[in-house]
Amino acid sequence: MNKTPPLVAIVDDELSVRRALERLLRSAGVEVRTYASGAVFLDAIQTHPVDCVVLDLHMSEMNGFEVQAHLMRTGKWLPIIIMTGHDTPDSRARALAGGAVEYLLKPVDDQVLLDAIAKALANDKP
Amino acid sequence: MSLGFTAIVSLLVVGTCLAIGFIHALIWLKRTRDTRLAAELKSANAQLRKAHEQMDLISGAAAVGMWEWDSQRDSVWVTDQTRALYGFSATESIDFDRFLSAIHTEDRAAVRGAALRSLQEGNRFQREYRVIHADGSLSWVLTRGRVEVATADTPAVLRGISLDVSERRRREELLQQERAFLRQVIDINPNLIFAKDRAGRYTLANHRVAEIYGTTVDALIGKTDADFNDNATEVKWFRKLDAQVLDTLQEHFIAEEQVTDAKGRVHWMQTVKRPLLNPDGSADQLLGAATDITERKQTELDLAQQRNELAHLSRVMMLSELSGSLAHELNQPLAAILSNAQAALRFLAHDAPDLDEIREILRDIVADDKRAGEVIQGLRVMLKKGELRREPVKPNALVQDVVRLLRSDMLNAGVIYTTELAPKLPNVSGIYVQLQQVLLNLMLNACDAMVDVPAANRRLTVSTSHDGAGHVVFRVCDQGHGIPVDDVALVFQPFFTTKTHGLGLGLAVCRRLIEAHHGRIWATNNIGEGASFFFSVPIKSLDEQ
Repeated sequence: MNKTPPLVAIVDDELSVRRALERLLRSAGVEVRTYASGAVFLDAIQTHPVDCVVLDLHMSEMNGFEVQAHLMRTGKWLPIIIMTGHDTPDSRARALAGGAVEYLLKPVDDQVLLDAIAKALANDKP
Repeated sequence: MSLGFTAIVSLLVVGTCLAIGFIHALIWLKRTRDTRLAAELKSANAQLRKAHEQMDLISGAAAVGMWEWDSQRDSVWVTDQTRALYGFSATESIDFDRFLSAIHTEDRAAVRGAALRSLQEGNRFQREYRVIHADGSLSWVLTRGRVEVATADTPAVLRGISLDVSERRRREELLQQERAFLRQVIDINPNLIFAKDRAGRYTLANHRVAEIYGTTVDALIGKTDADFNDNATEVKWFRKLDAQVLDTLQEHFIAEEQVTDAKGRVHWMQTVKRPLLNPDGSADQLLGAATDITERKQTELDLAQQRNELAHLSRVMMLSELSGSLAHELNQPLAAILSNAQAALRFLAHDAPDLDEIREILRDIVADDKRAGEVIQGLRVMLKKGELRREPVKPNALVQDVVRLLRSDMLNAGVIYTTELAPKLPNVSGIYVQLQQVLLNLMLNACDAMVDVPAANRRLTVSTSHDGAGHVVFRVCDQGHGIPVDDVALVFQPFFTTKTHGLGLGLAVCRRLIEAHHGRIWATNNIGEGASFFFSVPIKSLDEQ
């Protein structure tokens, strides 16, 4: 059986972070698509679905919670890994309550992220 | 015999007759000469009288008294004008003592001595003295005379004129009094008042200038700053400014300059220098006035230090509120660095690593590391204490920096922010970290003001504009509940707060910081919801750009 590599989306409004995460996942054999904003991502997945999304919380136009809420509203279930550089108890609780598989803090260790993705992909259905 | 006798008698008679005739002739001759002499004397007296009459006329017309003193006969001839001048009656005859008796006792001896010396030495005589009148009044008389000798060595006549100079003396005394008064006025003045010529020599100085230089006013006149001030830099500066005033013929205002006094203490002065214009419009001298602002300056320095310390304290407090945002700012590059490094290690473990990609990764790591360093540097600046320098600040860049710093906090607070930045704004003159602090403070307040507002309405707008009057205006507009109407003017008072947390010092500190920038800070309630806070900062002048 020809197993296709998982396709992971990275949504972060900072180019340097997108590039670094894309390289990391690619170096681990994960296929990656990057998006600079939540709106672009939501638009793209209409036609190019992904298996999992690594979503930054703090983005200027549409933040991670809004993306999460939009996915929830539209019934598009997708494993979400939240990554943030600004941790607060509220945001952790809100992210997990919103259905996030993992809530990770930047900077994140490669193995932690890869494990989170593996976990997300293993539970890719509710 | 009888012939002889007759002859003798005849001879005697003839002789006697001749003798009588001779005597008569002699008598006649003498009478004739006496008559002629008398006539000549009469004529001479008439001429003298006529001359005196003419001198009287001239004397009266010129209002100048004329006189002659025959020292040997001790007789003084005077014109009517002289009699009037000295209070002599029209008929009294005057000798030297009578003349002296009209003179004020304090001046009399000097006049007497001078007159006698002139006679003795044949010198010209000139004195000014007081004459006492019968009514007790005084007048000042100027007398000039010269000696005329009758024979080779005998001084005979001192002749001259006298005139009333009371009016001139009165004016001189008045002038003297006015000068003395003005002298007191400039000496009582605690400011430094001075005039200097082109060579920098003092032509006028008041007591305070002399005091600063540890000398007297008289010793200062004709000397330069270099003669009293050992600080060559200061002296050079004064000379430069003085030359500028005299060359440009423009008044100069020097807001602050230093003067080192005789004891080596430095005084801060605020000085005005103005050219003293000649009738042809040129200037050879300048007039200066300097106010000693040392105490004010020290107070300002103390206040600035207090302000800076308070601002620093306020920044430290604000940083604790910003810790989340700062963590985000730092974690972003750190996240990129870590992921890049781990990706590189993984690539290197592959059979044929793509070295170009590794190189690119390393470049990105360097860039992100620098960015993290800048965040740390920004923090260091915010936490820095002590003297802060003014610099040209780009208004829009300042807003963008602060927005970036607050972005994640605003996100957490559910605040939707927008910026409306006027294009092509000139730089303002300011201390970057303090302007940043004010903007941060206003934006944090705006976020706090919208905590209770439904999430969709938590809108914050930061805008910049040019007021057309030399200032850039920053506006922070929120959609909160606004400022209670009575409190609009009070929000900048210390310890005023509508928050349940905080000391109420934030806006008071902001006001002090903006006022120290010669700017203004104010607040208004919006027509719709919320409030707007404004502050204006002067545009950097062209020579500072």
